[in-house]
Amino acid sequence: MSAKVVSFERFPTLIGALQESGHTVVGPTVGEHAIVYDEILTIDDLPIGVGDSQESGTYALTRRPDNALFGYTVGPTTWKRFLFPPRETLLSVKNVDGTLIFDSTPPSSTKYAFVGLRPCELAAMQIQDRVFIGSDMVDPHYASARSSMFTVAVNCAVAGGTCFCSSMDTGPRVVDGYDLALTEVIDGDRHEFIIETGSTAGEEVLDTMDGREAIDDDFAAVDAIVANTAAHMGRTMETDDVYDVLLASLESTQWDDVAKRCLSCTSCTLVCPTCFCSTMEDVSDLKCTASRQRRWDSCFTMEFTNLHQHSVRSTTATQYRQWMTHKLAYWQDQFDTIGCVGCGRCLTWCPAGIDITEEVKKLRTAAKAVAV
Amino acid sequence: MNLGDLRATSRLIARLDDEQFDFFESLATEIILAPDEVLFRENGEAKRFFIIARGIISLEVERAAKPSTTVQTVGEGALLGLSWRLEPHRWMWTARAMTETRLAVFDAAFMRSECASNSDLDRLMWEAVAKEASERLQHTRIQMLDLYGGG
Amino acid sequence: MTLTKTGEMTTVTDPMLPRPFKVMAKRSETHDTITLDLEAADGGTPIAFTPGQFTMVYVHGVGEVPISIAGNPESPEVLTHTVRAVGGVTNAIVGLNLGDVVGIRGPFGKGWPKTVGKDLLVIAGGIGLAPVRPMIHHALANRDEYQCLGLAYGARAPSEVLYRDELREWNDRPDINIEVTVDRAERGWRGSVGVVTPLVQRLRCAAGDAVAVICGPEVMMKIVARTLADRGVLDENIYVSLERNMKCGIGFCGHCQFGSDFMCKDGPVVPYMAVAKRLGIGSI
Repeated sequence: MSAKVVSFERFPTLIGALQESGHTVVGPTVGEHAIVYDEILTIDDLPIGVGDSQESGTYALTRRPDNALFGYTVGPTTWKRFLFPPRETLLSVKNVDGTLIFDSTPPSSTKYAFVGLRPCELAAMQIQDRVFIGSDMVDPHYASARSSMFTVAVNCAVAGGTCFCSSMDTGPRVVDGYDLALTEVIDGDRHEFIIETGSTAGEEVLDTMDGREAIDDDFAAVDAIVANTAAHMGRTMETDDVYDVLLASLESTQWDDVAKRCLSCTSCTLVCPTCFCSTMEDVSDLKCTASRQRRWDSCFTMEFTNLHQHSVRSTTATQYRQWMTHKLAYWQDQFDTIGCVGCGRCLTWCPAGIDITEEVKKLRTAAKAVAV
Repeated sequence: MNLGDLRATSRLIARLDDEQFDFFESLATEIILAPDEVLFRENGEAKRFFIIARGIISLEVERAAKPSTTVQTVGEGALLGLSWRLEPHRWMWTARAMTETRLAVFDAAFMRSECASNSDLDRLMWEAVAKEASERLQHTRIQMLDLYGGG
Repeated sequence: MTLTKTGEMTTVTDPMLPRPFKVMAKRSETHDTITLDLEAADGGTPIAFTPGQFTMVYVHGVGEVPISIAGNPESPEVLTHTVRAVGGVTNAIVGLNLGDVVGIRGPFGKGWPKTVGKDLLVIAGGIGLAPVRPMIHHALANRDEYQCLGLAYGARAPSEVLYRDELREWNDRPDINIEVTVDRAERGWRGSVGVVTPLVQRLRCAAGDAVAVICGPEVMMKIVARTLADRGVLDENIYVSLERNMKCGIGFCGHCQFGSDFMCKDGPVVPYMAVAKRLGIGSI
């Protein structure tokens, strides 16, 4: 694998090369006072010189003193909305001559190029791969989008106020699963991107870009930037014992405590890059063609566990317990990995300011107290 | 009456030591009921108690202008007629054989007087009555949940 | 139906695509429960299944629900479903007529355990008799694989007893013990009245080496499992079937999770031992 250093001025050629090869380039852009992911047509669509300030229940964009393209962390939208869209028609059903004809809706032919994928987000994607394409059951829509996408990952040069990827071993540097990985370097007048390849497809794209060969100093710069980011994480989470702590806490009074603050608003599940729950909706038209649509769902709704007119989990306490125990413990049994990547979104976007890292600490203390 | 089979089905008989078992055998007489035959009627004097050796007994309540309603059935091994032990010694329910039923019958007054002079026997009988009553209560509560009901 | 994965020669089958099945027979079981016999309407192969599995049943424009397969696994060309009207989709299913077509996906899930050479105790309550019916058919068709075979079944009332004719037929057979009870008696009922637990003892099957499969409301399954354990049935030989909300049946939608288990693929049949603690905690 190779690496080049490309100037800020030449960065648009990356977008051009991806567009020329038939990709729809998607990346971060400013929308509704936040960093959201949307189609990027030119470099001007990117959040140039934009930063962000995040804390529990708090998010604001800031103005940076430079022209950094990636000077912020993650916003409320995730890449899963492209691979696993919030609403997707899966099949149509027609009543023809007294029988039903079922037709699968073919997956979209859009080839995405994700530019600006953070390490935590790439880790989240790899976790969702285990859900949607990692077993005998394969989701054809996810499989299609995933196999045709091109990944330009970005190593984080700044740590967010609610970030804890270091604890979760998911960043701030990408390890694998990308086509290109870039690190933005701004040092006085110097504004460059150190771009490393991670695949043959990545090599092909990098070949089309003008830039100098990366040298040891450049790799040292990447190391230094990433190390600095790792040293400034907004939060930490001890993960070695998190499975045991959660499983020991099923009858803890801590859930009632969280339930006093949690609004069951489902924001955390909407912004979480690994949450995958969905439901099916049936839509019909006057010509009796019905379609079956899949849409995002959340374990915090009353209908989620509906069973013959009552819900198995009908209280905020039991719903929150499910979400957190699934994310940190059950997920490990199901998919051989913790479900949380430390992106901090659920902290930032919770209107009640509930902090999953704090809740783990409280549960751990309570579990130890019981054990003693 | 030979109580050998009841060792496998009756909690009470299974707990008896050899001496107590012989005593029970000497006391027990046997009756066989045809289907629909009434064993005792509600409000009657509880002069005897029973252990069901074979068959099913229906416990029923008489209702004005309606055929009597079965509230529960009891089968093999069940201790029947708990009112023998509890004042006012009157049957709560009517007991009717659903199938051909064979029962071991014991005299209530005689057993009460034996219990008065034998504390081991007394404890044994109280435990048997309490256990049977507790089990019926459990079962009744579950019945009341109407588990197979709508919704 | 298959889809081509973009950029690759392989094809990916769409696990969300139903097959059309036609209603060939409809029988009324109780005031709110019917049994349908369905046959494939697409010329395709019958659905071979193991007892305890379920299919996702789709009614055009209404929705899709999981329903246990209630038929004879030795004759899979007839797909039998017993359905009780408890919600929108099941109401629509109960309202279907002969010749109507539904969508079927499956079979899904883990079925009842295969056992050979042991006593088999089947205890069912209410509509729970439907998911165990295939197991009884299988046992009767392979009778020498089992020693003692017994069914204890509890229903709400005599008019709520499922498969009445079939139960009478089975009752007449010497190679299976049948005990039926109702929670409340109706006129003319000459059988047991009361909970199903005491019936288990009357099945005359030895406890020690028996395999017990229990299917019915969760409370009933818990109580019966405890009773069986008290009577000496080994913990590891008791199986229950748990029901949960399912939107996909294939481990994607997340609705059916019960602890770490997806009831659609890690269940619905599970060893009681594995779930006893979770059932005890409640709302897991």
